Amino acid sequence: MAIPAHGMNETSPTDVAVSVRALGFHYDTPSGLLPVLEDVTFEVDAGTTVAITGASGSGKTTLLSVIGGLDAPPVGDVVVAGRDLARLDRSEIARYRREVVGFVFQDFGLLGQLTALENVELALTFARVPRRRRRARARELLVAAGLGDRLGHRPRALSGGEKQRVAIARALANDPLLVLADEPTGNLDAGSTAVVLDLLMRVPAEHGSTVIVVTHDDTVAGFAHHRLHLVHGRIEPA
Amino acid sequence: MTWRDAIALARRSVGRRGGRAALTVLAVALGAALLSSLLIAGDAARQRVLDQVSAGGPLAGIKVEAAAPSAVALDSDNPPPGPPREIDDAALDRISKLRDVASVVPVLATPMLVVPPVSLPAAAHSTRTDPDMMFSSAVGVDLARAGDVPVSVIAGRLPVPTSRTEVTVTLDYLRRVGVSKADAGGVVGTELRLGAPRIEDARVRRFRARWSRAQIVGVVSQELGDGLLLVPFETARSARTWSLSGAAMDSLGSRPSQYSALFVVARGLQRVTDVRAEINQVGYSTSAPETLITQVQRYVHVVELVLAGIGVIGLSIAALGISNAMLAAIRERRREIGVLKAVGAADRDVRRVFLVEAGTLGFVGGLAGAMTGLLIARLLAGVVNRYLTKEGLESVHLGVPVALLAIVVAGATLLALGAGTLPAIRAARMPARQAIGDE
Amino acid sequence: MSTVRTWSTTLVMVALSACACSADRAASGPPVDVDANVPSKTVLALGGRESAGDGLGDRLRDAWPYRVFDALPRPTVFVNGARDDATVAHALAEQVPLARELRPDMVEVWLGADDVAARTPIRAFTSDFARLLGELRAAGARRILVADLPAVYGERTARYNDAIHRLVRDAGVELVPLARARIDQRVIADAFAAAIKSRP
Repeated sequence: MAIPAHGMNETSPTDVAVSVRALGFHYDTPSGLLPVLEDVTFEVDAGTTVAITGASGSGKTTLLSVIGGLDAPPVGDVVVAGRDLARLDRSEIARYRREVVGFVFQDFGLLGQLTALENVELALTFARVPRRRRRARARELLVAAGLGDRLGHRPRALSGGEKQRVAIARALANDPLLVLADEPTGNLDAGSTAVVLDLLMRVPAEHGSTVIVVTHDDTVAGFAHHRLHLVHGRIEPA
Repeated sequence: MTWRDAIALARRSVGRRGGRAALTVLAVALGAALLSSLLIAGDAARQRVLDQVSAGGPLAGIKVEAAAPSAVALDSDNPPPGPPREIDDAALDRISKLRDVASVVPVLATPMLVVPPVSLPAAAHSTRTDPDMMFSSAVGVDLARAGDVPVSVIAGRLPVPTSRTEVTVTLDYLRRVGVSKADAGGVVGTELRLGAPRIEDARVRRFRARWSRAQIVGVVSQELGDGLLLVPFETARSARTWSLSGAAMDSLGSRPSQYSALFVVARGLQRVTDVRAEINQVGYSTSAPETLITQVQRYVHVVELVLAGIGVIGLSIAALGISNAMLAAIRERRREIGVLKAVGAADRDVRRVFLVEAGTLGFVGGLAGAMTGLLIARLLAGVVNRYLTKEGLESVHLGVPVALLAIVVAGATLLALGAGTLPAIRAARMPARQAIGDE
Repeated sequence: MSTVRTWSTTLVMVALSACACSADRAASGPPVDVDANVPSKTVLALGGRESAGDGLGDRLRDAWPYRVFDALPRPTVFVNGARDDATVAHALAEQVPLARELRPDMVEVWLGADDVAARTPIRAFTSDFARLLGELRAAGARRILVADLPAVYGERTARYNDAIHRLVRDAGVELVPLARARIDQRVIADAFAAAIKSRP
């Protein structure tokens, strides 16, 4: 259950995947501090799907990158699976990204020099999983994503939908507790969107991961269990 | 991430940006080619110059004359010899046992009548006025130890050490039959009649020769003794035995020595002075180009340093090229670096990938450059040799200096790693949020 | 695609290094003489004025003993013992000692012309010649070739040739027939060479 700040109660940590308290974030610009997130507080239950919506510039991608350990939280606490991100050093945060989080990006973020199979393997490469095991795991995920005949293709030979399915497979490779998707259907046509959404929304049930999707698309948000709406860096009732 | 995975990823990344990688490799290759060709050329030049100074023999070579040491100028390279003194097996043995003596090769010069062929092959281009017979000397030496004596093959090869029918002729022979040094190969394969002379009647100087026939298998330049021929030791020995069995002959000396000279090689150039002094103490006159060689070595070393310096500058420019290319690549690949971090790469992993990329460029460039350098040096040697041959000089021979090439490749790789370090650190320090892009 | 690229790169590198390594100096010089290490045979020629080659422009090349020597295999040691004006008696004194010294494998003998000129009595000629052949045998000569005399030396030549033929027969040596020949170094050399070749 995602709980907006004003109605938050103490909850057992075992049920809560993500806990964000009084999070603030700003950018240093030549014209002074530019606040992006202000006093954001919410919790996400394990195994649920949450959509973060909001207009362009409302701070939803920044929120996602802070939860994913791509940005450090300057103000407030972000606790994911019992890890307080503010207290992790560079190598611990890298390990957090490696072991706890899986990312899905709007523009897929696949490495052009690698095949679909190798892109999925990459996540396991940094975890030093032996070659044979990671290859089997990557193959299994791609087959499950319906890409069994695309294993050896480079990204440029794949359609947008196929690329995003490879990206989802990669995000799931290390069995993450948390899958973070940034506008996963933003670059896709309607047909591909449906396939990708279906795949993404089945993740909590099939893999037990918690999914947070950033989107400006109400249709996408409609598939999520819960929804957080950001307006100018603050959570507003949807 | 293991090194193996880093290498695999780096290889793919290099391969993806083929054009830039090729240009970077080319820059390194040019630097490495410059360095290796200059070093190879320098090395060959040093060999050639020292060869010239040591007359093709070992640098620490000393010639021992069948003469007592002269009282004056003991420390000069070529002192005048004193009165004749026989070199026998006992003397050979004493000198062989001296400390710091690496090898001793006995030399035997003996008078020889040489009847050249009536006509020389067209390749000899000779306009000689047909000398019927030439009276000269043959220098005999154990040719199995040709590496220990100052003998350079100008054309053809040396005789089989045990052969009775193969000889080499010297540059003197070429002069006598009117063949230029450049056409030396023309006399190879022709046959000589060799006569060991023996004076039958000293009053009328009537001699009788013991004749044999031999094929010229090569032309040499040698510093072991005067004569038209360099022959296997046994050929000289049997000729000399015949000559000594007649009346006394001026050219054999009043007390014919068992050996006409010894060629001694000291254990290193710096021991030559000591060994010469010891041989003088044994009672023989010596000569060795030690002073000259030391001076030449010093001079050549300076030249090599300068050449290496030029090569290193070339390689350094290449290293700057690598650094620049890598920094540009990192700017271009911010997104990729972000993605690597998002999927779990630690700073160390990113650094490793970029270092391996730089190292790969350096290694491939170094390898290509070293090979190209060798090729360039060989092409240059070819041009130089054509000139040398035309001038009748011995040509330059380049080996494959494996150690030198390995050093160039290793150097290029290390330099590339050095040049790639800063970009790699910078890449490792990039914030992970580049994966998502600035909002 | 990438495999092709990898292979082509490898191929270029290999080719480059091969080019660089192959331009070494070629092994030179004539092939090693097959006779180089064969023990040499010693050949001795005995004779007079024609055999010594006195009066020839280039005796070392033109006199018959040298011509024959040139036709023999290369590892042959040859000594020409011939002297101007050598009768058999002279040869016995001056040339035969060479045979004792050299212990030749083969001896070529062409004596008698100076005996014809000096009118050496046939009896003395025969006994000296027999002694000479005996000495050569004693010196270890396995082949002895004796030439008779061309008729051009005069009427008396026939009697000396009869003696030579008898000696050759009695001593069991080989005859080189020159009785019908001209006195020409080439012809004489060819006759000796043919006689040498007639037996292995």
